[in-house]
Amino acid sequence: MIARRLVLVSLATFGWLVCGVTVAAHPVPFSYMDVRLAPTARDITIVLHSYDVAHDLEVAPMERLLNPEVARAQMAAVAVPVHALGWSLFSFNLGVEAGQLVIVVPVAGSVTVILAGSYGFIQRIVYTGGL
Amino acid sequence: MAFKSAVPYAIGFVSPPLVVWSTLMGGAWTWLPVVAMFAGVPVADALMRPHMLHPSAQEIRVLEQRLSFRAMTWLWVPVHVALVVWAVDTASSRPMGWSLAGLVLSVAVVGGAIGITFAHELVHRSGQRERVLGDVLLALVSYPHFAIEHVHGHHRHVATPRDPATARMGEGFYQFLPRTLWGGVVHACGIERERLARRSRGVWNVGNTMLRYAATMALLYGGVYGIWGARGLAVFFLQGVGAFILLEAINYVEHYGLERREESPGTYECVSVRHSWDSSHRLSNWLLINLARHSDHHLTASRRYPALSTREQAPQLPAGYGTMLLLALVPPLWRRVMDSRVTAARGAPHDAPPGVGAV
Repeated sequence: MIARRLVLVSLATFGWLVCGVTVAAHPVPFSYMDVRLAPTARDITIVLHSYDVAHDLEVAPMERLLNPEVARAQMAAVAVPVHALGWSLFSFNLGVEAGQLVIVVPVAGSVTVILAGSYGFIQRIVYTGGL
Repeated sequence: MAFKSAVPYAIGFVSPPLVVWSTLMGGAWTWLPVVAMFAGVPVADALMRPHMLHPSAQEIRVLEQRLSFRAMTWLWVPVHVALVVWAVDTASSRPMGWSLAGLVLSVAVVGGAIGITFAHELVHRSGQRERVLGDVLLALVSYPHFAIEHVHGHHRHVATPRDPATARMGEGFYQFLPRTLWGGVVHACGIERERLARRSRGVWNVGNTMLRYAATMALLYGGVYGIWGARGLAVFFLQGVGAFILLEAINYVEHYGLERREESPGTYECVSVRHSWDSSHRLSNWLLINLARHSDHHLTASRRYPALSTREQAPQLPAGYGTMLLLALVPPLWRRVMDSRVTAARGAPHDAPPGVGAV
């Protein structure tokens, strides 16, 4: 995999050097949701590439989605219905919190238990004259 | 199937910090892990959708090789050792009153439900190192002979009268418990004696695993007594007793009333999916690393937990393990729920292909 990437990068660099034009790959070739966690807020950005959306909505050719009328007709399938907005936001935030807990509690908790057990053992053996 | 598919199986790692936290809170909080296991888990099992798994042959190979699944079973060992050490140290160094009972029972529940399940996974492995890790976990709950009896006894004789860990139809949990506890030790001694005899060795031999287990336990008990005194030893012993009683309750649920047909005197039909109760309840399977997919486990005992499949042809438990364990503690209720299901399961057609269940 690394060798393949190195070859691709080398070819791109070679093309740029030879042709003297900028070679640019698409930075993120898929639709994604970017969630930035701040102490008091969550900044959420959703980037949908028309290629992905057109594929899922079975709109061909995909450029048709750039037509406002076609896009408007498909909005119901893309957007969250207004009546479900509250529930969606709640479940999304619940999911983010649960996701963090799933990682943090087992890892940090296990480390804490190991430290607590080791501390108790060493304390007992070394300082209170166990054995 | 990325790393994230292993994450749900780490949920058991929440329980040791929960025990520590609830003990530090003191009072009634010390019972929280017990309540979570026997009230929270059944409710969550009932609310969550079933977790069906049907990995293909290629997926099974990938899942068995994936380090994240295997590493989880290894990492449990230091956590469980530390939890028991911490609990024994805490209980023997300060007056706790009734909270002590909560602490001991909480550690026992963690050890019995999760610790022994991880040990069970490890003792089934062919590698020496993983089996030793399993032995360590079993020694922590004073039940080391389980490694012999379960792998070489229970899996061979499951659902026959020869297996002390298979509950018979109509047998209440409180009748089953002494039979399986005593029978397990006797069975393990017999298996080890036969193994040594095949190598032309006597019982009184350093190669006798049961003797090695006994020596290990004597050293362990002596060490605990030397470091933490009689109170520490009592806590260590009682959490182990609680843990292995819970293990036997799980055994009771897993095979209750199911029988293999005796084809000729002393010879039984092959093990099939019909000889274990299966459950696809999501949280039970996450907590017990797919132990509830028990039919597949008995068909392919060497298969690692993430690759165990749902077996729809197997008799299905009506609820997750948390609920079924509570039911098992009330024999009349248990029989009311289960006996009709056992009768139905016994009458089910023999649909497993021949040889599938050969052990």
